[in-house]
Amino acid sequence: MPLPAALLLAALALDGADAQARAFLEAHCLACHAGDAPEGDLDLAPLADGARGALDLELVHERVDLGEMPPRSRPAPRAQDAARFLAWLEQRWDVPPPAARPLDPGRPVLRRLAHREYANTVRDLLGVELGELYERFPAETAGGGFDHLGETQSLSEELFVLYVDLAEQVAARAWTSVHVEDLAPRRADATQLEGSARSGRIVLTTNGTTDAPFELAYAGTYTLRVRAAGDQAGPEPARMAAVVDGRAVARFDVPQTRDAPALFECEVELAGGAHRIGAAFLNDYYRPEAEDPAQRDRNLHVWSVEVEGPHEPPAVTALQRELAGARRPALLAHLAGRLWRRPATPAELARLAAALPDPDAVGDDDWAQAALALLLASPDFLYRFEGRRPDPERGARAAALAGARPLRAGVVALDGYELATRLAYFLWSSAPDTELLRAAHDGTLVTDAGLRAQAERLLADPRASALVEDFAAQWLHLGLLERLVVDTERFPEFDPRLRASMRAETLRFVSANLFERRDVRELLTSSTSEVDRALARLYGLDERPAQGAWVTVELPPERRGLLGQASVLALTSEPTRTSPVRRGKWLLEVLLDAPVPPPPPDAGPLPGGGSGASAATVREELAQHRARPDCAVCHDALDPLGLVLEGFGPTGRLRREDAGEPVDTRGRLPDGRELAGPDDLRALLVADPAFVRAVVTRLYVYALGRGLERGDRPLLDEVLARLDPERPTLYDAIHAIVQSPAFRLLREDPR
Amino acid sequence: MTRTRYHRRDMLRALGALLAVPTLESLAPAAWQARQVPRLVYAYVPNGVHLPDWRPTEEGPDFALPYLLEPLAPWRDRLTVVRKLVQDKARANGDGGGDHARAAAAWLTGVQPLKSATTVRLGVSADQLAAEHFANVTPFKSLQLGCEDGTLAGQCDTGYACAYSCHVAWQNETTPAGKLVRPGDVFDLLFRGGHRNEDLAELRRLRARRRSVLDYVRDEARRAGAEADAADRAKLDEYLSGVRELERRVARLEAERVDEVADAECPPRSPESYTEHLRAFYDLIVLALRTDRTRVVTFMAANEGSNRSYPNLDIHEGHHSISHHKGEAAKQQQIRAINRFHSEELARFVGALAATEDGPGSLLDAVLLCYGSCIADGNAHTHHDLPTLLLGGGAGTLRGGRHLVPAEEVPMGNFHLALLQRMGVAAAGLGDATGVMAL
Repeated sequence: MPLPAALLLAALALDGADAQARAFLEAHCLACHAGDAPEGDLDLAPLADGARGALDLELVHERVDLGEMPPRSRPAPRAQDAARFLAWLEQRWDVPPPAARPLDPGRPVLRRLAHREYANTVRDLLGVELGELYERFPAETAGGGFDHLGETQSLSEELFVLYVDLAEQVAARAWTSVHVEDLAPRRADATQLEGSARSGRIVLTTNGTTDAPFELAYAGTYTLRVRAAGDQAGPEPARMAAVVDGRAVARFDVPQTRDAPALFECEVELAGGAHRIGAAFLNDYYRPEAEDPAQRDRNLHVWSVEVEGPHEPPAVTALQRELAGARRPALLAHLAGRLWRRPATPAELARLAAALPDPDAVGDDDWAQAALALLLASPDFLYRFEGRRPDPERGARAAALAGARPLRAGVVALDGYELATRLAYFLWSSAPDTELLRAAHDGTLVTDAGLRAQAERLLADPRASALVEDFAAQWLHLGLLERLVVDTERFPEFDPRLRASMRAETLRFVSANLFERRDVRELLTSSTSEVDRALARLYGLDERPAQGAWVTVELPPERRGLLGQASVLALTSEPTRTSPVRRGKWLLEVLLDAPVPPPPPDAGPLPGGGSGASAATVREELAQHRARPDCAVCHDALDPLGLVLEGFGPTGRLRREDAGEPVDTRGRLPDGRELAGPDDLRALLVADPAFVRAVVTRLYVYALGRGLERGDRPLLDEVLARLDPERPTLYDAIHAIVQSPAFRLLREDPR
Repeated sequence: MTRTRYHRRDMLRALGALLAVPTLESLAPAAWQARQVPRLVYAYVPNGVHLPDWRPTEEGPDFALPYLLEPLAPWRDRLTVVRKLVQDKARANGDGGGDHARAAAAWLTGVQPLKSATTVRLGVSADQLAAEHFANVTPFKSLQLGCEDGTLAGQCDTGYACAYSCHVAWQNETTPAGKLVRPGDVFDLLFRGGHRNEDLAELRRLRARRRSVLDYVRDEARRAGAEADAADRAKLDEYLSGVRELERRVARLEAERVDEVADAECPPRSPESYTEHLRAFYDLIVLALRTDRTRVVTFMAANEGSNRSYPNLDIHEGHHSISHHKGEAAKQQQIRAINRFHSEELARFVGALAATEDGPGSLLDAVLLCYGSCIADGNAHTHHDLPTLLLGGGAGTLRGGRHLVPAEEVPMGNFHLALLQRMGVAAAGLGDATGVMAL
């Protein structure tokens, strides 16, 4: 049967399209994705021959669409060729274009409070600063660039033990419970003091200490009293020290004799806890040959040691004052609601109350402390559960958010409290405050306008600095500065203070960009930054800010933007020299979100690493390196980006020459374009839409606390589309992410 | 307590080992074993070793100690150099780059880690199988120590979550066993109930109620788990396993209150140099074993792929950078110096074990100490003929003074199972192990 003409034409057109697609694959893909060991186990040769097999064509579509493939080290296809190839995938193989895929907010993942979130939460909810306790957390093991992605988090047994311990410590700090018996004086007599007691006293016949263990309930000022006397001999009276944990805290002359002992008293500041407290004999004297028997031997006799205090009993806490007078059931419901970031159900409250001691037996304060400890150790505090609260509106709200788009099965909306928690941990790295919980309760938070208003309020709060400290610092790899090793013999300008200043400059810089709602691309180009004295000197600026002061300065052209900041330049350097490769890698990964595969094992990641290497020899070795085809694949793209920054030494200081040779800041990109220096590099990055996309993608991952999935593609496109193309800002990106279905929906089905 | 049991073959071998040492002839092995229990210690060093100075050239008992093993000369009769161990799961097997992450992950598990930066999947490790066995025997079922924590975002091996390169000990397929990096904390945990001088009355009252806290949170976690999907349930299982561990510790603390270790025995709480840090942990291991706080320890001298410099050796480039020496002699010399440094610190540790009494012998007689790396050649990232030393007497189950070269390659897991067997731990298997290695 003859084919209808239209269909025939379509088939012919497809034929032509097949040939074009084949040409595209051959030109841009098959060099790596074919043969015996195709790159990434992805063999595209069958596709060129018109067979789909089990190929994941959605992935192919996505990588080409995003310009991630072919990689940056290869010549880029012409835009119209790529577009035609994508259209071919859609028409010939029914690959849905991203916007046509069902709306999918991603696999559900149970998130645990990251350590920094835990610390902020107890600070904001209970007024307890963890301080030195924070140091006891084991390091979070990062993945995907952040420390809080749900699927990389784990809770080891050690961490659980620590959580219970912290729960008790935080509870004790958050709510004071004074027991009068803990304030009574305590006395150790000769039988409790170290040493052999004789007639109710300890006799120290040589220089030495006698002491006893004391458990002190609270820190504070204590009075120590020692009942003592001496056997006197020699030119001076017996001398004694009051001793705490082996350290003398007061000294006394003890002229008394053993038939008339006296009480010696001093005041001392003591920490709470276990101590050993007692007395030491300081000036032994022994002359057995002395004629006068009374002048032969000096000794110290100690009858008892007494400790009284503290003289100022611990004060009630701010939390106690705030909740003073609340009746027990209301107090319990309030504390649970606060720490669980949602109202507790009557059944939950009943279980809590049953687990607590009888308040009539232990007193209200002990009972409240116990309740706090219980709540702080509970799964509902440590984990952010979602989808557990019954809410009949979830389905309808999800449909409304999806609008015209199809919704993946099993997708529902977050309820107000869950959304409040997501929002607060995204913008504050901390728990929702009362007002945010109120917006969750009254239903305004789940509306577009209500959500926007709360996000604005949170962003205006000082706690939003967490976005800089936690998001920006991790995005830019500033954590590396802490472990930066610099050969200070060669670079004496570097010291721990400069290290701290480097980090601070970048955080202030990002903070200004975010909160002053500037174009995010100014992160690359801004001609101003804040510096302190150490940085002004490092940058060779005329300003001399006072010690500890930060001033906004106009920067010389080469210093502009992140690429001119000491932090970035230093954290990508080796101890003895710069590393153009590491700088190029940082640039691609951080600024363009284009991960660089690791070098083949026998290649050696950093050529020219000898500690005597100069910039010129590094450049030379890199050139040799690129001559090897398996190295060139990546280094053609990496090296020029880093070489352009060679005018900055390993601490970020400007240099015109290295090891006596002039520094060359030129670089040649894989497509043949020449970069003369940092200005050209900046211009290149600013013009590349990949930069804005990269920043927003990192922010999106940070906001959601999970790695990217296939379904995120259209949602991310939507977020990007909400930005003003003339003036994309981080501020707008935050709002766009908060409004996104990805942030407000929950997939209940993990598969 | 489960009595340690051995196969008859092992007994005979142990007997042979004892008879070979004349001064110990009078001690019947049964009496020996009744009074000494084996302990398992794994010590990991990253980035492989300089192989030409590591591998002995002669087989059998009379081999000469190469440069990197020389520091162990005083204890060569307690040393076995084990060869031809292979860890296939550290290889790419289609996963591409990331040998460092895979090496640490696979060393004690024999499982290929899931290649993902945002999802973690591995398997239980040999030491944790032993830990479960001793969970009700010693106050701490195991200790995981290391000189480096693991937070450097963006700096772990390409494409892999940081958990892999920072942990050799794994409780299960998603949970690395908690690793402690601060010696002071470890001392407090082992000997001060976790708390130094802060035992306020309020805290004491709260801690007295731990049992009821644990009862409550256990019930709540179970309740949540019952409603949860599989992914969430796995998270809650981690939580519940923490509850069980703390319950055991509470029970033990109530049963015994030991202050046998004085403050003076605490190594530097916050070490000022890397050397001091290493020594602090080696000393703590001796202390923990001496007091039987635990019988299972893993220690990572550094994370896999560590790029720390060694200013004490006048080496200012990073270890990982140098390990890719491309045959350059100067860099190989530096690698050799780093390896030698670690061997010397190991020797100091072994010396301390030998000097510590344990029943009728020394701690060195009691331990099964495995020291090594899951990368053989750091330049080429090979995972066969892994550098592996076995030290100690294993409480009469192990003889030393050997350069053991099996006829065929042996999966690393078979070696671990041989150690577990000597620990009295019956393990059905471990990762890709195919049997129990003859040691």
